[in-house]
Parts: sequence; C-alpha cells; structure tokens
Amino acid sequence: MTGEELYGVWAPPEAAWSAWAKPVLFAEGPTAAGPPAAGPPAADGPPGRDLAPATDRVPPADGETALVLDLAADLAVELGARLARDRGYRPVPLFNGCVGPGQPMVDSGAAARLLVRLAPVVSEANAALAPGAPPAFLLDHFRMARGQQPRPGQFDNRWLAFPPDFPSGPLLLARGVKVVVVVTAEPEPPAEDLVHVLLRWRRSGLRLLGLALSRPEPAPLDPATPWTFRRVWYRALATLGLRRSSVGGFGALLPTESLGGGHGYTGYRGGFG
Amino acid sequence: MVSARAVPWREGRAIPAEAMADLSRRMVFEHGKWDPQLEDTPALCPAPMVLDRGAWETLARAAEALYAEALAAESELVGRVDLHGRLGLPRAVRRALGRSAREGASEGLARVMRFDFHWAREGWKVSEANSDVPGGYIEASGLAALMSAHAGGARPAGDPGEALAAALRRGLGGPARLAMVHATAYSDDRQVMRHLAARLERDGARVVLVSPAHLRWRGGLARIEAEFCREGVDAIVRFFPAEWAAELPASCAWWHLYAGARTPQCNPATALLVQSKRFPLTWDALETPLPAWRSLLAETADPARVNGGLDAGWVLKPALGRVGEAVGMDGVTDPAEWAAIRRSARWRPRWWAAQRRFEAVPWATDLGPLYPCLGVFAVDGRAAGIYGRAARRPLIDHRAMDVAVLVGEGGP
Repeated sequence: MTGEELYGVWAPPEAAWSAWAKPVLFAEGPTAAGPPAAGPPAADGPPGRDLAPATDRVPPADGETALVLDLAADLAVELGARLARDRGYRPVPLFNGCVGPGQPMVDSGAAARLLVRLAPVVSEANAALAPGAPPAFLLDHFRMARGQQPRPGQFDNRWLAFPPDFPSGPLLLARGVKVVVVVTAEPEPPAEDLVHVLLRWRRSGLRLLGLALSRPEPAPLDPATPWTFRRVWYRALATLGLRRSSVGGFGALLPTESLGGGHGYTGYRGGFG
Repeated sequence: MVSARAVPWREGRAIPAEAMADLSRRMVFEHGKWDPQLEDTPALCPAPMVLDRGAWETLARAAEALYAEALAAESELVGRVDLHGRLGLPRAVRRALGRSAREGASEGLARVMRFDFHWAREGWKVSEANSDVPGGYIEASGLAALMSAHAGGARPAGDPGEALAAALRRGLGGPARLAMVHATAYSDDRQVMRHLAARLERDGARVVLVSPAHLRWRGGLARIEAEFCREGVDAIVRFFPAEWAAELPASCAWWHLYAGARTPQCNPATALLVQSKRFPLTWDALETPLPAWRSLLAETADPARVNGGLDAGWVLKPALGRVGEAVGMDGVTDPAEWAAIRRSARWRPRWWAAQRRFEAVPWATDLGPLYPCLGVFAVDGRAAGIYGRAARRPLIDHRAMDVAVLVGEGGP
C-alpha cells in the first residue's frame, strides 16, 4: 500500500473532517518506518492491548461530541481505529512530525507502522461511517518529548499542535458539535499547545470534558489560561521555544527581548518567508 | 505601466471541486505539500491567477534588477560594519557579520531571492524581499504546473525549484554531496527541503537533511556529524533563517554560516543584511545605486523618526519578521494586536520598520475579492517563477491561500 492509498483510508475524500488529517506520516512514514509488524490481519480488531474498556468509556458518537485523543501515538492510532469500528467516530490523524533517521527524539515509527497495520480495520469501518461522522483527532502525547534534551547529533523531530491545525470552534458548532472530550491516559492538565486550542473552542461556546483512561467517567476540563493566550506573538514564541530547545538546549517556551508586559519577540519561524 | 483600472490579471475562476480535491492530493504526494489545510480554510486557492504576459515580463525584469542591486548592496554592507546597527539585528549576529567584514564573507552558490509584488493604485509595489531563505517552491513549481491543466492554455511563469536545482548543478559542476540544512522539528520546512532534495537526487546528488546543529567546520569546510550520518559535504542548501543561527551552541561554530566558510552555501547568511525590513535605512549611506529598490519598495522609515507619529498611513513590521507575523496595519490587524504592536514599536523602535501603506487592488474571484501577493523568484539573477498568495484582507500572513500564478497570452 502506498502512502497515498493509506492516506485515502485514514482520510477518505468524502469524510467531512479529512481535510485536517496531516499527511506527513503518510508521505514519509510507511517507507521510513519500515514494514508493519508481523501478525494476523487486523480484520477482527486492533491487535495488542485490550482497549475495550477504554472504548466503552468514550461517549457515544451522537454527533454532538468530538474527541481529542492525546495519547501515546500508537495508542491513539489503535484507539482511533477501534472507535471508528465500534463507536462511529472518524479518526483524524494530526501527527505532524516526521519519522526521521536514526533514533530521533520522538518515536513516530510505531504509529506509522500501526497506521499501515490497522488500515484494513479503518477501511472496513469507512463503509459504515457516515461522511459527517464526528471526529476523533489523534495526537501524540509525547510530541514534545517532554523532559528530554536532544543528544549531540540526534535528529530532532518534535512538534507542536497549533490552533490552525484544528477546525475552529464556530465550525465545530456549525456542524453540530457541542462538547469536546480530551482523552488522556492519566488525569492531567492538557499540554500547553493544546490548551491554546481548547480555550479558543471554549470561548466559542463548546463544552470541554477530560476523560482519563484510568478513570471511569469524563470530568469537566478547565485548563488554566497561559500568559501567551491569544497573543500576537504566541506562535513565534512557541516555535522559538522549540527552536532553542532543538538547537541550543534551552528547554521549552522562553520569553526573549523584553517587550510590553515583560514578554518578548524576536521574529517568526522560517519557511515561507 | 498598466493603470490600476486595467488590472494585469484575469478574473479568478475556481476549478470544479472534484478536480480541486484531486489536485490537492497530488500536491501532497507528488510535490510534498504537507500543510494543505489551515483551520477552516484550504491552503490552496481553487482559482488560478492568469497574469497577462506583459505584466509577467515587467515583473521578471523588475525582480532581476532588484536581485542585482541587492547582491551589490549586500557585498558593500558586509564591509560597512558601521551600518549593521541600523538593521535591527541581534548582537550575536552583528558580531558574526563583523567577522565576515574582517575575514571575508562565506561563499555563496546559486543565489536565490524572492520579491513580493502587489498591484496597487499606483502600479506595482514591493512589500518586502526574501533574500535569506525564501520559500514557496512547492507552490510556485508544483501547484502552478498542476493548475495549468485547468487554465485554458496558460502556463506557469517558471519552475523555481528546478531553476535552483539547475543552478546548484552548474555551480558544483556535477553530482555532489549536499547538506539540506533546516529546523528539522518543523515539518513545513522539511517539506521544502524534501521537495528540493527530490530534484537534486534525481540528477545523482547525494542529499542529507540535517539541522544546522549537525554541522561541524574545519578549515572553513563543513562536515555533517550526526548520529545517522558522518561525512563531508560539497555545499549547503540552507532553509534555516540566518538570525536563528545565533541560537546554536558555540560548538557548532555557527558563525561560519556568515564568515570564512569555503563550503559554499545557498544562500550565505550575509543575505540577512538585505533581508532586514530596515535595509532601506542604510540606503543613503551606501555607494551602491538602488534605483529599482527606490522606485518599487514602499517607503520605509525608522518608527522612532516617523513625522506625525505612527498613524494609519503606516504599516509596522518586525525587522526580521517572516510570513506576515506580527505585522500591524490599522483597520486590518485585530485592534488589541495593533495596539500591542504600536506600543512595542514605540518602546523598541530598532526592532521594527515602518512602511508607508499602499492601496492594494483586489483580485476578483469566484471566492470574492482577494488581495494577491506575487512573490517573484530570481535564481542566479534570472527570474524563475512566481509564488502566489492571496488573502481576504490586504495582509499576507500564514492564513493566506497559496495561488497558482500562470501566464496567459493577450490582455486580461
């Protein structure tokens, strides 16, 4: 299966949320990550751990609930496939880091291989899913490799999620979504990059819930507002933090030149300058 | 020059949705466009812009003139350490530039720049130049090529990715080992590197995608020292903004990107001297004549010296801003952001440039009026294609759509 064919399974053109699926792992991953793990075809369900209890705790896909699975990438892929098959959610992979050579900071290889291995499950589920099936956005909880600094010579493939990576709150509401449930492995505050997304959604009128797989019920989610929220410099600062951490070992988000309010700006990221 | 009434382009007719969906997928998998969606908006505009051939020829000549003048100005500015302080550059960068003045600037190879043109009431205006690490190859090459099948015979203005690959081949004299240097953590930068790498590999080059932190230097020659690769390289293709280099650990000897390197770079970091939005503040002190820049670039001033204050007639830009980030424009930028930007420019004027606002002419399309920006590439002095973007407001930032700009015969 080519990366394009695989992408067509996980982001079928007719599905309402496919436009948000990130193509990076599909474009690079299937070949860069090596062949999928040996094992029987996953026609009777995702292999590996028993995700039935977790699947059962997720609210039904009533059209008013969207999910954000902020889990280890391979777990997010597995649960996403199972939710497509058993609960009627549309998995939307938002993995935005490359696989990378050698032993990179973020191991995306396992998730890339699972995308291949679970393609038959999702393909079968697609036949039953309505084009407007509610989304389950898949994130890698370890996208920033928290607590790690790159070794000299290591490939840095960390990444952040930004609000433009998701549909806006008004669009979710217009499509009938009223509640967003953030699924994590343990009860913990959402990562700061995700907080920027969640707070925008809440401002739009969406209700936020958190569901830890280790707990039986979802609970209201009330993330604290970071000082960078809705600042014109947030994206620059966030990427600056990643850049400094990437190349200079500074760690996470850092203010720089003193600017109004004690926070700073030194410039935006590169790329399409 | 064409008057504002006779716009230099045809109305934008969107191609059918099914064809657009197919085109978007091909952009992802054939051309490496990994960011096809931005919040609720597709990144690719479904309407191609067909530009009058005469307009393209005007833009091409203008871009070539701007390129030649920029290169001459950069060469002079390297030695004019007294002017570096006017450019809003970080101290560590100024130190590295001082080194290039003493020891010689690092070698360049296959120089590439992009000039952002807008059709305004008074004719073509340039809002900025991207002389350091211009982007847009995927769109200018791939999108334009795919969209030309739907544009009634109109053709891409060029293929800047191919032009750059050809210039590198010429400069290196054949297959070579290249380090494609970028911020590896950013997939939208990596996609550009992979797009260029595919073209270079096709012709036999050995290409390694690395971070600048993976480079080591000996005697001015670069070498990759990474867990996954250890070898010398013949050239560096850099997509890592030059001012970011100052964040690198000293062990990387990052200043070689500016000074004393014998391994050639596309582009050498001294390109930052003309990339700064404050470059015009050095013009009167330069011997290099800059007639094309003076006639095309919107008037630029130090925010601290704007007569009458920073009113609605000025646009504020960070000296080293990119992708329209933190650009402030009264009535366009969110009022709270505009106030924050004005405050910052008052308190720290040396990090900002004030640019005289011009009235851009919108492009009529099936999507409604859009404000286009035509980024004209020049590679080794020759115009090489157009990276088009368009926004619903007269400010091109990361929310702007990518537009295929094609050239048609006859008038609009």
